[in-house]
Amino acid sequence: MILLQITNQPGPLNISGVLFFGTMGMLALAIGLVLFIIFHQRRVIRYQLQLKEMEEEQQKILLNASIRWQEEERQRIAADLHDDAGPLLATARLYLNENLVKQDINTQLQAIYNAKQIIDDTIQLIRNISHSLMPPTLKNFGLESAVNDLFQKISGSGSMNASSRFHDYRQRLRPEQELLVFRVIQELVNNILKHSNASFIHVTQNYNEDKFFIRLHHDGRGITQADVERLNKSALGLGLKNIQSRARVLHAKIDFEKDMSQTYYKVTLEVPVEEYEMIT
Amino acid sequence: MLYLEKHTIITTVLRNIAVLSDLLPLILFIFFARSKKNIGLRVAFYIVVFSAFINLFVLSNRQAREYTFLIGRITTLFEYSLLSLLFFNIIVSKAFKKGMIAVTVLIGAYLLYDLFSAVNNSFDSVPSGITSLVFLIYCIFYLFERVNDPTSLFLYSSPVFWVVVALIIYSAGTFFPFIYAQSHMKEDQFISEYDLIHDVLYIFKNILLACAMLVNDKTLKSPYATTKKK
Repeated sequence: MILLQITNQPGPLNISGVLFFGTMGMLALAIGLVLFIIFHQRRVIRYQLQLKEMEEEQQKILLNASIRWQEEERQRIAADLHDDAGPLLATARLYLNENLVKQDINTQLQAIYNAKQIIDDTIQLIRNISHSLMPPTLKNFGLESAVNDLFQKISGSGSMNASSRFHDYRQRLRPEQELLVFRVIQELVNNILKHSNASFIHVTQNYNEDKFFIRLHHDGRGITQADVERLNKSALGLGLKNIQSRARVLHAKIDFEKDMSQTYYKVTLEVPVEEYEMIT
Repeated sequence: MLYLEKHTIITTVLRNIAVLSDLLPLILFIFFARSKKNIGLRVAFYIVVFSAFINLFVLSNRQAREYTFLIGRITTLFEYSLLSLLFFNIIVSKAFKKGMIAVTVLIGAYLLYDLFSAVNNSFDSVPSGITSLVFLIYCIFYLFERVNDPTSLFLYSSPVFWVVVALIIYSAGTFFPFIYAQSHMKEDQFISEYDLIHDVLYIFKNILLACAMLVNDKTLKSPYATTKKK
């Protein structure tokens, strides 16, 4: 209607009006569009920067957790060596001191026997420390045997029923991947033993297309993904941060959730595996 | 009388500035452009070279002024071909590209038909209007694609963006003057208004193209997303 009224007006004035308003309108639309795009881009950039900062922060937390864990592990090994191996070797040295040659033969034999016993104990202790650092079962027989071994020990203590079932593990992962997956399972089991008050733990393994799955169920007090995210932002949950750090190295996804039946807690580790990464 | 005199002076000054403004993107492209292989800059350069040549030819040759409208039609066809090529290269969507081919062929055929059949003493309002609308659609789609592409950061650090902005503003601003030109080109007041609008937008377009020439073509990509090929 407005256009009709304008075109009904006489002479060149209406054309001037149409030209003026039309051109201004088109220009306003074009400039508005360009400005919108520019401001939108700036908002996107700001958002991406925030995302980057958050990721860096997360990386920093994981790195700190990893360093703290390493330090704690070193302290534990140092304590084991200093408190156990050190006194044992010192005692053995006492038995084998220079006065021994002046003693009678029976005393000498007794002292040597005692020293031998102590050295055997020290060897066993050092072997235990070495096994805790790198389980020989894992190295020699693979993840399945190492997890079975770990679970047998837990079940053997009588406090908890622990079982594992590997459905498809004919091809082993690469050694470094196996170690990382084993450490994740160890840390999860450790957390369950410490905090959940569970009566059973069950681990299942599956291999689907190009993904390796480990699922861990337990009936104790567990955590969900929301709890994990909350703990990630705090200084607590060192073990969890280590798990995530290892999962990141594996390029794996880890999910903490409650079972559909709302009775069990479930942790799923999903490791992407290329065919060439597996060894027979 | 005094008003008309002043108006004529302003129009003449603006026209001279508009003609000279062609030199700005040309010089910048030749001496300062850091991304001479960029398709946007090349297309802009060829268009500006062509426009500058036409302007000089018409201004220097009295006989050529009789064929202004024919030259205008050739310019429309030339710009349409080059800019279609530009958009074909910068738009990612395959479906849209297929549509572009069909539209380009149809409009190209119409422009050729108009070039050979139309009366040469009339302005090519319909072809100019259609090409302006098509360019506006292409520009909007290009910007829409860039906004939806999470990998493209700092859109305005791309020369193509500035070329597209120049084109969108020029096409939007000159749409109405072009549409009305054929029927009102004999009215003095319309001619002066047409010149005023066109010359201002022409200068503005050349300034934006000059900005494009100075932009360093950096492909800044976001590390948070993957490029989607549609």
